[in-house]
Amino acid sequence: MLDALIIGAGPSGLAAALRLAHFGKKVLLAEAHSRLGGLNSWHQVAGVEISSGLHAFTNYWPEGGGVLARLCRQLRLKPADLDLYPQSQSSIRFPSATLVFDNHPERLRSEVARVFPGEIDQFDRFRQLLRDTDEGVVEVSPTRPLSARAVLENHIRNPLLRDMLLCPVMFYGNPGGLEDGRPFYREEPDMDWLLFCVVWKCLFETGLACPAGGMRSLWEKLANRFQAEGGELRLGLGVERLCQVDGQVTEAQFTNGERYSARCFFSSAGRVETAALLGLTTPEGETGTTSIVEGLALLDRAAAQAGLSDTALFYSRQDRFAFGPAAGEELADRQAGVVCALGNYALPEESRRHIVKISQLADYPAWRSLSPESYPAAKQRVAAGMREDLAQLGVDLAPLRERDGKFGVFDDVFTPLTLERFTRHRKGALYGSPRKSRNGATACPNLFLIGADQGFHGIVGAMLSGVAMANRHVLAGGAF
Amino acid sequence: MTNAEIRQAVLAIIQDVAGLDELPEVKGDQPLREQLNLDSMDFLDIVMELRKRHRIEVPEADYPQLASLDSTVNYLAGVLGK
Repeated sequence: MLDALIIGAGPSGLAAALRLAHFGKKVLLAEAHSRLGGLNSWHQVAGVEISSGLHAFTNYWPEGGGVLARLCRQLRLKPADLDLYPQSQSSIRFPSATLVFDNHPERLRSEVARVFPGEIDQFDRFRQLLRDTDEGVVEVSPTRPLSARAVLENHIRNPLLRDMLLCPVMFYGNPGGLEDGRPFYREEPDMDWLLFCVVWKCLFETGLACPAGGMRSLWEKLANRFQAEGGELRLGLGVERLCQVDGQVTEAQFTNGERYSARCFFSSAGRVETAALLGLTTPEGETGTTSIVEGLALLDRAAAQAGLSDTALFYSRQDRFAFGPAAGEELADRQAGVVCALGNYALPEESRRHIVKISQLADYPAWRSLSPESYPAAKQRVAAGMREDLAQLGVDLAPLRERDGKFGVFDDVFTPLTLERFTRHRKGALYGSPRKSRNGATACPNLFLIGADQGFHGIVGAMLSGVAMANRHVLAGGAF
Repeated sequence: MTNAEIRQAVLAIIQDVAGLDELPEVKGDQPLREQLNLDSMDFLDIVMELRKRHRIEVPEADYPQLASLDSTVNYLAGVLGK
């Protein structure tokens, strides 16, 4: 009998598996796909290996501390093993104003003081509130989420500044979906206050960085260490069902007919998806609705030379920020988005690739309803729109058209259906369910959620989620 | 194990848990937490490594005995001497 069976070899599953194996537990780590990484895996485009899903490692701390340092200690990694390089700068660009931020929190503050001088005292009070909020509490999962928009409205009077602060936080972490029957409005988007705090601190209080070797080298390092500690890793092994006896999960059945029993189970498949493995249904609103299309351009020169000096550019075409596809733009919302220039991280020259990614919100049902014949054409239309949008943002792609397929914007955009296939999240929900389980608890006392639906955020947060849940439920005298 | 050996073993564990390049210099009678900036997750790791490397079980009620290096060595010497 296994001590623990872990579903999914993304960042949370790998971290939980390594922690448990390091302390002598018998662990099976089962990944449905043929590659490690989950959402943060890799693929090849024109012979170049590209980390998928990845804009950044958040929680980067220039002086070396904070959550990232804690995570490294728990996994016995040296920060140098991550080989991280910081962002240049990033922008929030709206028609009437632009705010620039970087890995020093004071930069955003001075930008707010410059662009919105009348709001700086309120902004300072808002930041203090954020700092005083302990978003890491795992003891309580509040049943009624607090509205981030309401808290913002209590502090910041200027609606433009409010929307400009909401925009990047929403793009980097709003799962969407229903909250306690309260609908998620496109026109007045909202998210859970605690989750807002988590993402804010990832983005603005710490910072963005990128690993030089891409994600693949890090995942392989963790997987090799896990196996060296005696753990078993199986790729291409997808769970079909979790069997219960007297309320406890006893066994996992896999799609290939294999069965494994274990004392406890960790799932990174998501809240709704894990419930489905138990044969349970969850309320419709618990499935996240935020999904994206992502296009990729490979430039033949540095992004700065093509007009893009930001590492991440969050943009909205209207001063009133809307989060969600507008009517008629279900396949790709062109009113707002994020552009990321991976070459603008301070990477060593040899590992610098002039990759530009553009992400726009998309409606899963619209993509699902396409016929197999119309799917490639829809992707081409979306890619063409992205070319126009990049041009409007001042990113000059024109000379690239002349190269024979090696550079340029690729028509093969990543869609909500791609997301669903690789993360197992229903409806291609980028950030999982709006209902998080801070202590990892599920309907069964020996089954725990890790990853996006446990409620930490980003790659660092997902790994920390695996570590924290392994500690809490197994190592600190939890499950057995 | 002599007390000196126990001290070395504990320092080796702290080095790994705290991710240090060499053995830490620690004032034996001062709390480890402040000197090395350790948190509760790190203390759990020290306990887990004692179990893994030396098969020593530290029950949760005895965690306060691990506050400083001196108290840790005294406590472990007592446990091993039984």
